[in-house]
Amino acid sequence: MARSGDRTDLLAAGLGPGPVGEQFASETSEEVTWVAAAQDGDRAAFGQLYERYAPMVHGVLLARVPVGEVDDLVQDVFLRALRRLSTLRKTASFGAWLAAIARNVATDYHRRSVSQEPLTDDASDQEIQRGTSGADQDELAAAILEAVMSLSQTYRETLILRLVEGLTGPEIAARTGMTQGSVRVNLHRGMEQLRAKLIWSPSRTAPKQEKA
Amino acid sequence: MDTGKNPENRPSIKSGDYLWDCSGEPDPEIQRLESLLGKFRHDSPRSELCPSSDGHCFPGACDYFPLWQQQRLP
Repeated sequence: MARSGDRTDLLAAGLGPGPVGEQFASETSEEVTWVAAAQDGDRAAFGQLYERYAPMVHGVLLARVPVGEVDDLVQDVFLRALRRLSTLRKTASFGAWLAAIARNVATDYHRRSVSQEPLTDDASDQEIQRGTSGADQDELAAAILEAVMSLSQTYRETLILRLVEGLTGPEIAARTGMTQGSVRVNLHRGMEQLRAKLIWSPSRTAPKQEKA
Repeated sequence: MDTGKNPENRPSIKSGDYLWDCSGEPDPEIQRLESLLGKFRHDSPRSELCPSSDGHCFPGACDYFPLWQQQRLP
């Protein structure tokens, strides 16, 4: 029987038994069934895949394109996936395949958008005043998202999936096909970098963003 | 890009890691970020994609995937 430390290492590698591993093994089995059914023309099965993967696709896109464009591009991703579903051979890799389509759709978007402002500008060194109104909260949220967007793409995608879409680390790994180890590293290092950019002041609800 | 393959560079695994899997004691700062950034979260009802019983489907789907219109399972 594996010791608890061994079990933790195995789980971190996405290999071990236990509730987390069993949960995602069950999900993977379910998804393989859905993918096969969708390839066979079952629209309900594709709907199940959409329901499970739309937040991941949304997060991958949000890490790359302006907020206002994301919803339309989510639909583009699923349309592209639908068109190409018959070419997917490794049905268990649906998530990684779909994430790659989402990244490609974002790249295509930027190719089309000649006047697109860059997303990787350093966060401005502005401080937002304390407030309680919805508009203030919206400004604050936008400022924090801007700070996340100033991180490297690897970190911002993982952080957005965690902090915006609400996926856990194991879910991010299961949905995107990344290893749990990679997701863990990206989450912790990304969060470290984000914390360095956001200085929370007790007298303010908003963080002060520091230039990188 | 971090691959996570180098164990020496991998963050230590703690039981109760709120950032990792929302377990353990909640981290107030992360909770605040979750609360604020949650406004950008995907919120699309499944009906946007799934065809309804009357055969209506999300834009373009039926053009790209004719079999979409033939529901084989109940």
